[in-house]
Amino acid sequence: MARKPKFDYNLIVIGSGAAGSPAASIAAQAGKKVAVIEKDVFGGESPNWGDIPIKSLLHAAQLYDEAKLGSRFGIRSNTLGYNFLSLKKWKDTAVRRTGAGNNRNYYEKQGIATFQSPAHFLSPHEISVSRRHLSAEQFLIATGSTWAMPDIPGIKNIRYHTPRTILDISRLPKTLLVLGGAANGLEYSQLFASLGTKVFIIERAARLLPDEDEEAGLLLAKTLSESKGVGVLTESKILSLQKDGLGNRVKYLRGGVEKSFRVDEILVTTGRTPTVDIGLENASVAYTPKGINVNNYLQTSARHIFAAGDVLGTKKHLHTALLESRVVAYNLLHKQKQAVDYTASPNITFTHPGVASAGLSEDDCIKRDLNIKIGLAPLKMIARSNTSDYRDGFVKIIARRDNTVIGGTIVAPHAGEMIHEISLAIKYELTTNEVANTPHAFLSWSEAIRLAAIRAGTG
Amino acid sequence: MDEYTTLAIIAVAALAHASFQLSISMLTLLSSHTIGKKNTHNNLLLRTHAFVIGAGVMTLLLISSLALVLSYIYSATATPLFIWIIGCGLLTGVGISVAIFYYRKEAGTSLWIPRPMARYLSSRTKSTSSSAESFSLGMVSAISEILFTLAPIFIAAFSLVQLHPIWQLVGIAVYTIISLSSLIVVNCLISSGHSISKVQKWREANKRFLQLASGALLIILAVYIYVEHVMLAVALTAAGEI
Amino acid sequence: MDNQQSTGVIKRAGKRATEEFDKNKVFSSVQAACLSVRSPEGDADMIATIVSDLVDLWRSTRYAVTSHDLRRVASDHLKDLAPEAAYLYKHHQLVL
Repeated sequence: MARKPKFDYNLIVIGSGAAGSPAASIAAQAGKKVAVIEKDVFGGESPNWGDIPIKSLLHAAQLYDEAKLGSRFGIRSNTLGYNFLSLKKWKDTAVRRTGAGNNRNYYEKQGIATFQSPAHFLSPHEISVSRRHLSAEQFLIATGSTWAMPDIPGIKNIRYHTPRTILDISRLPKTLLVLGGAANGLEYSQLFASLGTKVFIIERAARLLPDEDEEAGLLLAKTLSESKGVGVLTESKILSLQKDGLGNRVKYLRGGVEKSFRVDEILVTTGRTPTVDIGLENASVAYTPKGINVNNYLQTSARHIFAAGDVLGTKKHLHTALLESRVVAYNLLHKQKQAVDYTASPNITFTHPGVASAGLSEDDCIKRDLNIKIGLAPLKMIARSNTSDYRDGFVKIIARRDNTVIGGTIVAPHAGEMIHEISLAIKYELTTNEVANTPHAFLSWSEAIRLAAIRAGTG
Repeated sequence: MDEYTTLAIIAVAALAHASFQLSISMLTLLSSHTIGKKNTHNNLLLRTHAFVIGAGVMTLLLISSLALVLSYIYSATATPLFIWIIGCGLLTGVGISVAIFYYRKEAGTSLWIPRPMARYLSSRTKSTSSSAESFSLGMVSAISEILFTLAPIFIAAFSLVQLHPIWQLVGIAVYTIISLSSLIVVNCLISSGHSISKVQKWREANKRFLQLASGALLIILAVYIYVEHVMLAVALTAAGEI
Repeated sequence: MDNQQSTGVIKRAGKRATEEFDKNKVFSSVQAACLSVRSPEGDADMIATIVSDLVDLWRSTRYAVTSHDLRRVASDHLKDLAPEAAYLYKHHQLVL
């Protein structure tokens, strides 16, 4: 009888970010011999230079914003100011407090072997790490993605930033061009605009947040341009980028007219490239430059190799990567595999107002020719908009003809919190009546959800 | 059966032989390596021509020897029906095999031959440095594909033995020349300066068509021979005419 | 890690590195591919130099690669410079 081959580890996780870390921990707790390989900083992007840093700075920036506008509430703010370096210190504190940023000990305490080196597959069960070759029974590829350099003439000759590097600058730029009008671009735009930078956003699509509800994108554009002075240039194409003294000259085309302007710094947020150059051919893993191909159980074409997170190439959030990692861990440990359920996974843009959506959008329903009912509740209809003095924003709920909730979009100050009620409704197929009949506290923003549910039910 | 029908069967068998790709692949590789090593055009011509001649010589030897062996069997047996049935079976089997899995599933024009054999042939082709070696390589290429070419050679050889000796020589020449036709075409293209990559791209783009055509040709030949020689003989026997 | 970093090249079916990366081998094979599609010698040399430099840069971040990896990366870079040669280079082992 053939002997079972011996491997160094039961599981090797390549990448220590959100898509790799939970699976490694769960497998280690289940008694498996696990190794985590990380070529960059342990913890991955999110705690080190992604979600945690930007959201912590956005919180500070929003406080500053609110304070500046406090006079309408009787608050004096004549001497209000900020120190950029202190802001960065606060950001570093937030990163440190997560415990996950650059913390190799976190894994070693769980008995997980760690290696800081690029990994490269040499064969289906073997990788090269540092000067060693490690073998494992199973693998999880969680190598994430990197910010892609767009194909713009001149970009290779200028200095530009990505979200990874922009927060390392030592002083605030006077002017900033943000390439890309999706969630990331808007968050950084709002951050810098709140701190006093003149920001321009260039987006090829007809609106900001092209993947969200149309009204959400239009409202964000209006808010950013009117209250923050952000130059929103939608339906625009950059023709070239050139050095101009210490700054950069941007030439763009909009409405058939060529224009140019000068900015100090450029931030590129237009797209990400999955990190797939790790010798996947040697492991017979099928992939394209857009990501690794997986089945519903997150198995690649080599059944003992799984993949999760940004490396799959689909637009994802951290919570989706965490979900995928947990599903992979389950599938590694059980014979009966579990498929990933993305139903009702929310998309959140942490601007102010925030934008959050779950399920199908109105555009999705139109494309699929679905017969739907829509309930729209502007925030100004609820009492909270009065006491908080915020009247823009809305809640939109989309339901099937039988009143089952299938999607929703929220533009509101706490959209990121509110959306979970709609996610719950979508996941458990609640009807608009069930949502509307659930008590919603007076003076909470969620009253708008109840109102939207009522309107969707009667639509 | 008259001479022209027999020659037609030999020609069709030779056409099927010509559609097989191992020799063409080796000729392409040989040309590519020769040009890549900065050899002169004369050297290229010498080697490619030597390769084609080698393939032709081996094909000629194969068909002649098989015809000789079959001629002993033919004269020894009362009826060649059994031999025709074997031939039809071989043709059908090879035809179906070719139609289904002549090429490997991957990109390129990799054939279903053992990988160590393919690697050996590739490395021999790469290290060929004279026309004598090319000649031997051509002979080897003809032998290497014997599993697929045996069927058409068998049918052609058995058809030959029914002919008058003068017509047998004609038959051998027809078979050899037609079976070399694809090699000759590719050789002419390469010698005249056509890009090897274009030739190879064409082969890759049309490999499935060639594969099906090859298989279909073999099967059609098998059906024809079965009807012409086997069923007719059986029918005549049943009618008491034999 | 600089370009001086040595990289082991694992040959087909091998388990351990059988030789150190040799840039000249990449240069020679790319040059031969370019010449085989009848590129002028000067062009072939220039293209081979660029491609071998790019492959060298790629492998410098890795301690071990397979010969298949080197061929793939070389053909990817060669595709931008000489598409015909890149086709032959990539399909060289898929002809037979």
